[in-house]
Amino acid sequence: MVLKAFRRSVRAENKKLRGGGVWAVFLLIPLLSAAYGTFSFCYNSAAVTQDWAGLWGQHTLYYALFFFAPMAAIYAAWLWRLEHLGHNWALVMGMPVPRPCLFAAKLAAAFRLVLLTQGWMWLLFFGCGKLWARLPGTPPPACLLWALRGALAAVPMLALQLLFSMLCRSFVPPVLLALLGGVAGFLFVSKGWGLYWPYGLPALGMNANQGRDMLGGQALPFAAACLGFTLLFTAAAALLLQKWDVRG
Amino acid sequence: MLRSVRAELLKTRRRFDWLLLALLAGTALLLGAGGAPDSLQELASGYSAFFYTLPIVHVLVMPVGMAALTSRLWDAETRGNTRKLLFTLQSRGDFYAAKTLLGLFYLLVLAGMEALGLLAMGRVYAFTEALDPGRLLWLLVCSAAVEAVLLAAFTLLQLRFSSPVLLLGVGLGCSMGGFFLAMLADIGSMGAAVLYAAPFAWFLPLSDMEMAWDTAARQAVYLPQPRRYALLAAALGVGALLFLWGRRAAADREV
Amino acid sequence: MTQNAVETHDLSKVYGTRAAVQGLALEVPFGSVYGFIGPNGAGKTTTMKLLLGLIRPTGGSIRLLDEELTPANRLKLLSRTGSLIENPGFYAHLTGAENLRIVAELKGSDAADIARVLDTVRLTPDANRKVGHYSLGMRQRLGIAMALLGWPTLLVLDEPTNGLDPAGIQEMRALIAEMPRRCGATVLISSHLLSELEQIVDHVGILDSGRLLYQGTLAGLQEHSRGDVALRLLHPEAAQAPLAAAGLAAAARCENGEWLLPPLKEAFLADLVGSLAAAGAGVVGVNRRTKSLEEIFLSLTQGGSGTGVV
Repeated sequence: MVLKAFRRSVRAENKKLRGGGVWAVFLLIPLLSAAYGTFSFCYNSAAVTQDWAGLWGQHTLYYALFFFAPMAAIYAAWLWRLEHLGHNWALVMGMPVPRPCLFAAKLAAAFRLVLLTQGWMWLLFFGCGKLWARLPGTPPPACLLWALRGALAAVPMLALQLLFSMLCRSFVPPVLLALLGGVAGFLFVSKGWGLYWPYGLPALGMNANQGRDMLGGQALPFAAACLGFTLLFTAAAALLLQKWDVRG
Repeated sequence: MLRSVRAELLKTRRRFDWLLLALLAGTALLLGAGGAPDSLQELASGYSAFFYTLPIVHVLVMPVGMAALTSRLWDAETRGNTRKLLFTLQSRGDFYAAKTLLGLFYLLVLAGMEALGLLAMGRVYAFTEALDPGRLLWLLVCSAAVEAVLLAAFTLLQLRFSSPVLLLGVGLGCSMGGFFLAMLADIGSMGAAVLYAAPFAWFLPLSDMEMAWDTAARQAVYLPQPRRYALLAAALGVGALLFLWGRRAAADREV
Repeated sequence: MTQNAVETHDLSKVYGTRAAVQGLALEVPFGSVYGFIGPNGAGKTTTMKLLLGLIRPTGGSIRLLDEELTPANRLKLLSRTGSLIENPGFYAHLTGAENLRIVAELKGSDAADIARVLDTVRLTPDANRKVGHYSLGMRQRLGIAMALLGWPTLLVLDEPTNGLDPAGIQEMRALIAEMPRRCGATVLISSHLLSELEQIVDHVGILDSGRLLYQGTLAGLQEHSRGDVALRLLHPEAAQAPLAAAGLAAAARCENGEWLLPPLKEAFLADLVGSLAAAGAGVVGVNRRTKSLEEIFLSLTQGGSGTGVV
């Protein structure tokens, strides 16, 4: 029954995304990132290995380290904004679905957005590689794996951002927190502590700026970090939703 | 006009906007610090390193930061549906000007926070270099000027679209775009000229510090650059034009 | 000086191909409580927004408080106006009192005025609570309090009793009704609660599809909305012949023991009563039914233009 309620909630959340300006963000950010990355790849031939892995590194360098977190935060903030406006909280919380399902449904909707973004990012990577950088053959399967892994690694960050946006009715502060979190993530990853910071996980998952697998031998700790953080933030949100009085 | 400004200040109660400004300043300084300086040579050019890196960091952080600030300034009116009442109590022009003044005040606070943060970092890392107040002032004034241009531009967008998603999306896009232009300036054939193409990248040409790599000593060397007063004047001019455009757009707005 | 606080001449507002308001000639007398009624989408809120300069007219002109409304004098005129249009606007993160302080700041009112309006709308105990925690009715009261700040000469209220409980509606009704006497204000009020409006307004404007169907005093509207004549007869069977002779046989109908006839001129009615009495019908009661505002409104707006009303 809970599964049914969850599925209904997910369908409802997906319907809410229609017509929102969030799709402009979805299209624009990976596009700019791909343009930047490909240009850097073509003009930095001395410093960057001229193959698909090298192109991947340039595409994901700043995308994963700086822009992915605020972009995901915008998705999360948008999903909650629809409830913060008007009297939608009362409407949504009065629905015959368990309250934790509401949060889980939003997480699923946000993950779907991120998954589509990663797919779009990968398509741009492939397109830029063939048409602009004129790389031979096709990208190694590892690149697709890294894109998917990046999407999975975004789940704990999405859960945290959804929690922030649930607590804060204003759109902006959680996005700025994500900006700070992403910057801090860059520092954590550079020091080898990426597994301990939710904003560092997408960079590790996407293998940002690396030709080799950054998670070599650390797949299990990576999975544990993703799962652990997700459960922690989702549990916190579920607890708050159960205990809260609905306001507005 | 004074009443409109006082009303705007009353609205800031319990909004903790200063926390958001601190977040922005903190993010910029954290990124600027990057790896902490640990060698004697690095400590001897600690402030110069910041004067060089902060404009680059501003290109990355401030467009999305200014989009966020603009959204924050106007969001209370959208969520509270207050325009119908406010436009019977003050002219649209005064309302817009008061919001702009508040935004500029926030930029002043942001500059102050960055200055204090920089001084604090100097103490914490124990920079041996003496702080050049003139260079610090130039950095803060130029940053504030470009941030004001961004603020005015995003306000125009806000008047047209009201959507925080669009605003922040464009902000992120400008951050990426600015970074792209910075790379083009470095390795492209047009050189630094490309940076003049977009105001959101003007943090860089307005910087009065450049970095060269001493391959022999294997360390960064920071060299003063001539200050581009004309570009600063242009930034102020563009900001003023955008403000007037926005004021005109606000005057035409129906509710 | 004219006698109208609000006057419009051929006022219109067109959105694309849709005329929200057309050819409006509004006349709201000074010191009146003017009820502005119409079905949903009739153009009431659009008209109120036009009067306050929130939207620009496509054509026509507006006079407020004896002056032509222009961009140059708009704020000067609005400084003597209080308004509540659609839902009240407020800052949820601020208390009720703080919200009023912002409006008072812009109007040039003082703390004493804030205390006065809070007391008037019975929000004083909740003044220091955040508006985000207010109920719908409390937010509505706050909106009215904002409109009352500064002792306005003209009050423009769009559905002011929305969300109020019956006691609140009664209080608001009493407050609005005494505004002209208490502070010389003119009130332009729109509402769907026609039974409530009927108790406080002295002038009425009925709007439908952007056009004014009727404008004048409430008494005049009721006078001209000729109600049915109700006859109580002891021997109705004796009434058939006189009714047929008067050409009313088909029109007469019996309802709850009363014989209802269509609206008749007084002289004709007097003759008919005489005929009925002479025929032995036993006339024990003659009553001219007055239509309620709701009945008049429905007959006007659903039955085409001006049905049954001069």
